[in-house]
Amino acid sequence: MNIPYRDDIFLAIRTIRKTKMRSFLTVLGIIIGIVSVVTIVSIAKGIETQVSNQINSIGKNLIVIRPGRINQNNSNSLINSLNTLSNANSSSSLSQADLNSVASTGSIAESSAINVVNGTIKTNQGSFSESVLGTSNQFPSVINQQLAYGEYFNSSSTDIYQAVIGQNLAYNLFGERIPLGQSFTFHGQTFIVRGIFNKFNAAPLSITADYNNSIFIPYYTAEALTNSTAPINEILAKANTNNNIEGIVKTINKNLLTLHGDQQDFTVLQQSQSLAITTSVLNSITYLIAIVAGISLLVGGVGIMNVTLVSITERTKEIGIRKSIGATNYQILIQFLIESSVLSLFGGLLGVILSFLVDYIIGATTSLTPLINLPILVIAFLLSLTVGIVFGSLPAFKAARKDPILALRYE
Amino acid sequence: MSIIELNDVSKIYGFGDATTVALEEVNLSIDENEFIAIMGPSGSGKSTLMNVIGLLDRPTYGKYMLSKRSVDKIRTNRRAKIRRDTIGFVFQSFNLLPRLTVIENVALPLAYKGVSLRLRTKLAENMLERVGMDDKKYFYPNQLSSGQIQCVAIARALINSPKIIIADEPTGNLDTTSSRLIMELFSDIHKTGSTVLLVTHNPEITRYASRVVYMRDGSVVLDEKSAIGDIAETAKKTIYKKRPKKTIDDDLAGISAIMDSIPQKSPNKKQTTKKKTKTTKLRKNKIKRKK
Ligand SMILES: Nc1ncnc2c1ncn2[C@@H]1O[C@H](COP(=O)(O)OP(=O)(O)O)[C@@H](O)[C@H]1O
Ligand SMILES: [Mg+2]
Repeated sequence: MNIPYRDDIFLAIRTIRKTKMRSFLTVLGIIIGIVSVVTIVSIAKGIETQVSNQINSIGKNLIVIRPGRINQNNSNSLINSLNTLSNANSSSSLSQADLNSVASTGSIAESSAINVVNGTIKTNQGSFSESVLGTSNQFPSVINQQLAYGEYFNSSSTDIYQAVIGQNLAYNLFGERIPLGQSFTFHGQTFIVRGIFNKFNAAPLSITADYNNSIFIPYYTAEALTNSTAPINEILAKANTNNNIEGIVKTINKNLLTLHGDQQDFTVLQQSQSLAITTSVLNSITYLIAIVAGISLLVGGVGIMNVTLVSITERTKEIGIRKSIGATNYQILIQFLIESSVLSLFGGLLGVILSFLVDYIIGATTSLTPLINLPILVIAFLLSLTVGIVFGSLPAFKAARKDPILALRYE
Repeated sequence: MSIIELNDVSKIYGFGDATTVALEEVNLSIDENEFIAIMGPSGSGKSTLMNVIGLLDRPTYGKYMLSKRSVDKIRTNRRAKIRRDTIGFVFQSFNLLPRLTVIENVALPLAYKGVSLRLRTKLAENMLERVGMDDKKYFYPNQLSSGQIQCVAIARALINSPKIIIADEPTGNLDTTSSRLIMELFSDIHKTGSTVLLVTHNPEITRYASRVVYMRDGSVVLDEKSAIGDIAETAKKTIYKKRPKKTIDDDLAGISAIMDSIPQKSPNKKQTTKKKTKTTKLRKNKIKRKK
């Protein structure tokens, strides 16, 4: 780097160190802007990572069939579809016939429908309204999930009122960590807890139900309780291969279309798509907050511009001296651009430090796991640098064009 | 051999009614290694002349040749570089940048030239040693006396080994002892072959000069050779008119005495019978308008 510019950097840093309070107040807007950008992006990044971890643990060969049509090109309708999906009361366009069709597709090893049974659960701790899902025996294997304790339904048992619970419910419903053998009543029947799932790798915003807060009962029990009226929330199917999942999805879609009289009122998804959906939902949220962040960066930039303009008037004499000893206009311009950039980067640095703190608090108090990675830091750096250069240029041009005579006469 | 050559140089500030003729058809030829003292009352155009010669300002009319090359049409950037490499400035006050240490101030012209930190620190140290300020190199300007500040400013003016040193009232803010110290430095610089232009109000200082130029109302009214070591003839009159004491009051008296003893400028009695130029026309117009 050219030598005087390196000096300018050191001088700018020295000035900030000498005028800490003033510099801090100047860059407050930048700090707020950078904190919002970094926090939002890191939360999004965290969710994305959680979703992709979930996919990896479930397996790439899982195919999900959902009622309703999801338009993947439009993020707004995506959010709407997500809302309807999470609504267990929605009537489903999927039927037992669909499950049979899926199960009989070549390359599908195992499958399970998930029926939603509404109702209130009563335990000795009180009443709850957790979601109760009817599944087949193959469910744990389809989604690649082990039980922590006990076993999944034993179909040879004559007792059809058995249940397996998600990990979070153990304490919430029964007040103990391993409530094996405990009972609850649902639709007038007494169910015995036979197993407890390992913790699911649940990702916020993901389109799968929150299995950690669900109760699983056999599908035939669900049918018995509801006279076969429990809507199918989704059908899960596991291919016996990781190759050509796309082809299998197409085959399933074709078969189901025939069953549905050519009505595309369902959607066949593979895991990579569920990541895409999450990402696009996140993107639309991120854009929104980016505007807010942009505004605070704008305010921060104007703050820097204002302070630099004042400082240039204060330092008119300095500019005159510098020019008299041979500084070119360009060298003066660069000096002031460097000063505003260093100031802005200082704000960016404080913003990043604060973001780590904010993310730590978010991680500790919510189910989100914000993730600050190198690209986010690079974005923060470039953003602050840009603000410094953009809002520093007007003052810097003014400084560079000062007439040395007037600058020297200035008192 | 003349290093500075001014031909009918005029400088007019302002537009319309508010114009000031700061320099009026100044002709001046300065040889290499001259030590020139410039005297004259306040507002007579001394600083303007220094700024024009130092390439900080451009004449409104006239020609300026620096080292035999015309510098009138040179672009601002190129002028800055010529200034950096051939001219050293010392002003009356606020010479040093307050946020830089003494050594950084001295090394700054080298930084603008692109000299490495190591080399320029070494050169700046040598220069500070030469002016006797090496023990203050890590001080900030506000920790120095005004005499020390001028020493540092001289060190900085010398750092690029410039051919020309321009000092605009460098002793204006100093007591007699500091002034003498500073003037000894300028004398040393002169001995090493530099051309020195020094604006002063103090007749004593003409002892160091080989030539004294007197200015009045933007014109050079008198230009006399002076033996180094002696006070210039015209300047001498200004001292001995009053009590030969050395107080600030005396200096002030000296200024007005200078005004009395240097010739009046009269537009009618111009040295040469040149045609009237734009400047004089302008001046006449102004007078007409006033009436
Ligand atoms: N930038 C300027 N704008 C207007 N008038 C100026 C400017 N600079 C100098 N002058 C005028 O030019 C004249 C000469 O000024 P100057 O060269 O500073 O005199 P000196 O240094 O001899 O005291 C003065 O009348 C001054 O007011
Ligand atoms: Mg002056």
